[in-house]
Amino acid sequence: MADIELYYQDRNPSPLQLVWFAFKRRLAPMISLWLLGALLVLVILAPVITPYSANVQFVDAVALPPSWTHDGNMQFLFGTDDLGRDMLSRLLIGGRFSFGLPIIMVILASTIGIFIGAMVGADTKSKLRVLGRTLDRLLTIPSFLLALVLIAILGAGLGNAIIAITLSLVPQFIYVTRNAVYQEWQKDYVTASRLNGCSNTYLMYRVILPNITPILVMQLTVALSVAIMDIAALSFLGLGVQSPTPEWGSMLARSLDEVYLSPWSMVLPGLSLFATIMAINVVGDSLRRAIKQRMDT
Amino acid sequence: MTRYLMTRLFYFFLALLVLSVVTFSLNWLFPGDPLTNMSGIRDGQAAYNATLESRAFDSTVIQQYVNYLAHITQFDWGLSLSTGNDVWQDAATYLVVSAELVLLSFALAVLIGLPLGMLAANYFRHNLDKFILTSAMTGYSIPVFWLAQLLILLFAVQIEWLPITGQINPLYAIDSITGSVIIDILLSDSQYKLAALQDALLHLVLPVLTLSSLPSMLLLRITRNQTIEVLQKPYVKAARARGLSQKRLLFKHALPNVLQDVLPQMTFIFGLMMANLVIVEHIFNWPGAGAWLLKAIIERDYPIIQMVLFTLMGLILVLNLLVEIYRGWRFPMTREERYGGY
Repeated sequence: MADIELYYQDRNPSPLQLVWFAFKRRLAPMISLWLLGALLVLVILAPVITPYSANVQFVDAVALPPSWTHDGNMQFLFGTDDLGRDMLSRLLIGGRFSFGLPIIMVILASTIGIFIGAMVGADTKSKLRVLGRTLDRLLTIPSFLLALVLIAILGAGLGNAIIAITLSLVPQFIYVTRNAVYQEWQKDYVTASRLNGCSNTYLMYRVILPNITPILVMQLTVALSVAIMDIAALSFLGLGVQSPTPEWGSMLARSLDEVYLSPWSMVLPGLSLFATIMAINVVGDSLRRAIKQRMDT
Repeated sequence: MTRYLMTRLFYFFLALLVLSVVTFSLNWLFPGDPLTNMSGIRDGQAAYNATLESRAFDSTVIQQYVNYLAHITQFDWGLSLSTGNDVWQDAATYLVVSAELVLLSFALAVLIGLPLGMLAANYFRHNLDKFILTSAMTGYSIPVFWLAQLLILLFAVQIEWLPITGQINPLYAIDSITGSVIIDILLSDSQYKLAALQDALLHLVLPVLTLSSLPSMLLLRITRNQTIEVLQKPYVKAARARGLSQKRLLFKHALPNVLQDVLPQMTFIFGLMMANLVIVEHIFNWPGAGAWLLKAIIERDYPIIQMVLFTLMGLILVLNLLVEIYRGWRFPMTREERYGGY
């Protein structure tokens, strides 16, 4: 008799789990989540599964249309670009820069931003109020402009673009975390825990953090879509990833001249960029809806 | 209201001051001689020593900053490193060119976003709502530069309705006086005024459409969510019980309360437009401030970079201030939330 419950157990799912239960019930975000997972696997495995090297040129197959068109060739599933490079390989390798790198950048930026934000938010009798209010105003400046400032200082290039975008994402994390921590701090349960004599560290990690995790996760998805958009935009403008390296934004920039002759060189990278951002936005949007549902009930 | 106004102005000027400190320190962060970065005058030029004095470079950093502030309040941003022209004089045209684009796009975004958002909220959970929401999500996720390319491919290359890039067909020979094409045409004494105007407007369609797509979709979603929330409030139920028509209910009773919460988002939307301006102007070969900034970044023309970035960011802050003042004046209860709390 294994399933006799000796003690009455009251299972309280964490706020993140509650949001997850609400999230799971809807179809579109789940499809998006699976899509993103598949993309992540593809991006990690990219060097193994690409049919050719991303920069090798096939002189006998320049600007070949995708294989499903009349002139296409099964050897090159998505066709080749104007220099005879295989589009499929370039798209897959490009995904590492367009999707893989932003994930790493967001993880870095969130670690820094959440840490600072939590410290500022916990500081209730703050003398930094004036500074905070001023920064609130400066935060309406979009991250892309901040990234441009940093690029202007550092100069163009992949490494500099990574630093610029990571740093430009940090303020948003500080802002969101600070507001969330500040709001929770006013609530009764936090006061109760403080009366119980919890230390500030315990209060932050065990009492407040679980309750603001859903908001932070939502901010992660927002930041991820912003980071993907920003790095693609910088590369498109020629300030990020430099030419031979395949990246969806720089592939689009290259296709500007040849789009009239080989439209697939513009449609394919753009479509992958669009699908990725769309999937992230759908996930983020339904997370927001799930959080709101939980707040209302 | 006076107190509200004073605090808003105080924080606005403080934010501007922080911004100027940032642009001031950029001079040291940029590679090269800070004085050259600041004034655009290279070591060895005749004016170098005079500039050294007027910028107080023989004195402390604080004094240098004060002199820097004095210079930029007189719109003296130095000389361009690549052309040697006075930056602010060049900037005036570029800024007007961009202002035309931005204002038209902003107006279009509001005209699309607000009504469609209200419409979607009115049909909450109907198929129409779902359709509008899905298309908003799609429009919101399309990268601006890809959308621009798609629109060019469709409207300019495939069906040839619209020109690909540029402001106006150069054959019309309109002299650039203010920078804004429409005003220039109206001012000019060309005998083909109407044809030129039509050509300029056709050139405007694609950039405006591209630039307004993201803000309008964002505004649509915000308006929809806010309207749904407002429509569930008791006072709306009471108004409905009194027998008010749905139209009257939406526009007379719900809309003001929706606007109250949508307005603060305007700054954010405007900021996004400023960022996208660089991309859109680059693609459509639009001779505005965004394209100028990009060119300056590539050419490392530091006085121009400073000036354009400060202006773009400053404009966002100005709009923020205006929105806050209007909101405080039109909806007095929002002033309260500023006094209380932190």
